[in-house]
This record gives sequence, structure tokens and C-alpha cells, in this order.
Amino acid sequence: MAINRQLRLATPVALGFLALACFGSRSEKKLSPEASEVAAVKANSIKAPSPAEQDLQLLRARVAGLEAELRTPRASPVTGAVVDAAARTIDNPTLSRRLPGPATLQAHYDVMFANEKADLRWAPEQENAVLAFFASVPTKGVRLEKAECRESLCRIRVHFDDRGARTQFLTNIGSPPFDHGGFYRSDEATGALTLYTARAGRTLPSVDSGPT
Amino acid sequence: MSKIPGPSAAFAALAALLVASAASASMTSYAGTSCVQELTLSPSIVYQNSRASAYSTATTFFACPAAQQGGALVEAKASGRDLNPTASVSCHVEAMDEFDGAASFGASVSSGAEFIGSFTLDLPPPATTFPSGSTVVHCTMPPAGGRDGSSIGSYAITEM
Repeated sequence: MAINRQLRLATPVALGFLALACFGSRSEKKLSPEASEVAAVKANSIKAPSPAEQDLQLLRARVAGLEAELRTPRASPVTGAVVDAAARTIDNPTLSRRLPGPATLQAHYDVMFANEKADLRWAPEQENAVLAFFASVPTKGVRLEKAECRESLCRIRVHFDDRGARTQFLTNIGSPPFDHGGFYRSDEATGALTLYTARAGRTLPSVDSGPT
Repeated sequence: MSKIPGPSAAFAALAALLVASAASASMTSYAGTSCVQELTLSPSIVYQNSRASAYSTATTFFACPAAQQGGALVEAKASGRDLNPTASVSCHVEAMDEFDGAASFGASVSSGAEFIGSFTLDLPPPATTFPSGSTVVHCTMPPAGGRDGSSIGSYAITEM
């Protein structure tokens, strides 16, 4: 009876991994390793999962990314040596570790943000602080698109007219309300910046060491 | 018949582990003169001995680069002098990717608005580092009040 129960639980998990493997092999020729990993993270973030499922999603994303990286060795244009640039593995064997790229990091933070429930007291206060900042420190060529806060994170989207406006805006990193640590990434196509900031007293979750 | 290791063996193993962890951490220190002033075509930064001082009558921004050695950034410090009685020196660490398109930054720490004197700020590391990117300690320097400006005398990062 216990075995039947285990089989019932194991079957959907096995099917999930099979589906993930099929998805990975189909997208192999079209997507870069990091793009595959990002896609896997996003694809798994549509549902509102339980904490255990969230961990499983992040692990699946990692597995998909690692599989894709293993399949795509590339020749270095400088040395001619075959290297896996996307793997981002440090040469020093004593310090060797595998780190996700910026797009994957953003996808992870998107998933974390999507899975947070809003703290109805803190979130509006923090959103107002961000809005007040953009109202009081108007910077030429900088436009706030959206500011959302949940339980421990805020996600802010900012558009810039030019590179100078972006540089000017980034000097505010480290000053309130962006002084509690965070992560940002610019969209290469639009130049828009997505900024994730941590709540005071919390640290931005690291995605180096796996889901916690 | 196998022997069960005694408490002394456990302590020895723990000591070896601690020694190994300490050995793998590496700290790199820099003189404040490695700092540059950001966002200006007419810098007011002044270098003397090992320190970089902010002599502007406005708030200025210093960027103090640190070489990455391939490990995870676990600790950072910035030391200097805050000579403004009403504004503070505040610093944070930022790890950027190689294209300056993404960055992770730690929480900001300040010397204290009313503080005057020498300070050492323990800076929380960013959540992520980029092995091919760079690490920079950013400091916001208050306006120089009198003849002397606030300064960064040294800074350091520790990687594990």
C-alpha cells in the first residue's frame, strides 16, 4: 500500500522531469544556455506553488540550465580553446563554483517576487517612498514605469532616454529608498532597468547557493 | 573491528576544518588613493598620503575598485575620516557584470550624520558576485565644511 502511494507520488514527478527534458532538447538549437535557464524559470513560475514546489521549480531551472550548458561547448575567439562561456565556472579549482548569469538571476528574482504575498502595511509604505523619491528627485531622461512591493522585495522598472540618464540614476543606489541592498539589470533591447530592492533588515536572497 | 573516534579526534577534525576555512578566505586591501570621483568632468578629489579626500562644497561620489580573485565576496570594509558635523560618509559594495548591464549591491552603511572623526564601516556583501565582472566600493562623500574634506583612507574586500 505504501509502495502504491509512493508510485502515485513519483509518477507525476517523473513525468515532469520527462517533459522538462523534452522541452530542453527541443529548444537546444534556438536558445542560448542562459536563455534556456531563464525560460525554464519563467515557465515554472506561472502557477502559485507551495514552498516545496518553489524549491522544485528552482532546482528544475538549474538542471535545465546545466544540461543546456553541457550541450553547447563553444570555441574561444581569442585562444581557440573550447570553453563553455555560459557555465561561468571559475578557473581556480579551490574556488570553483558555478554561478548563474544576470538574465537567470533576474528570472529567479522574478519568481521569488511573484511567490511573495504582499505585506499590506509595509508594501504600500515602501511603494509610496519610491514614488516620493521620483517626485522629489526628478532626473532628466528618467521615467518610473512601475513600482511594486510585496513582503520582502520591491520591483521597480525605470526607463531612460539615454545612457547618461541611467548613470545619473544609478548614483542613487545606496541612498534611500534604495539603501538596503538589491539587484538590477538593464534590458538590452529597451534599456529599461529592473531593480529589486530588499526590505530594511533583510538581505536580498542569494541564488548562488541554491534555494533556501 | 572499527574504532569509534574519540572527542579529541572530533576536535582535531573541527580545528582542521576551521583552519581550512580561514586559509581559503583572502582579503585584499587598498589605499584610499585608488578611489576616483564619479560623475564629474571637473573632479574635486584630492589625493594625499594614502587617502582620497572630498574637497567639494557639494556631495560627491567616490568609486573605489577592488580586484576580484574568483571567490564569493563575504566581507568588505571602508575606513576614513568624516569631517562634516551634519552629514555622513556612506558606503556600499556593488558587484557588476562585465558589461555593466547588471549589478548586485549590498546595504549601505553610514558613519552617522552627527559623527566627526575616524570611522571603519563594515559593509554587507552583495547577494551575488559576477566572476568576470568587477567589484567597487561606492562612497557618498559629504560636502567639505572647512579646510579639510572627509576622506577614504583605505578599503578592503574579503573573498572565500
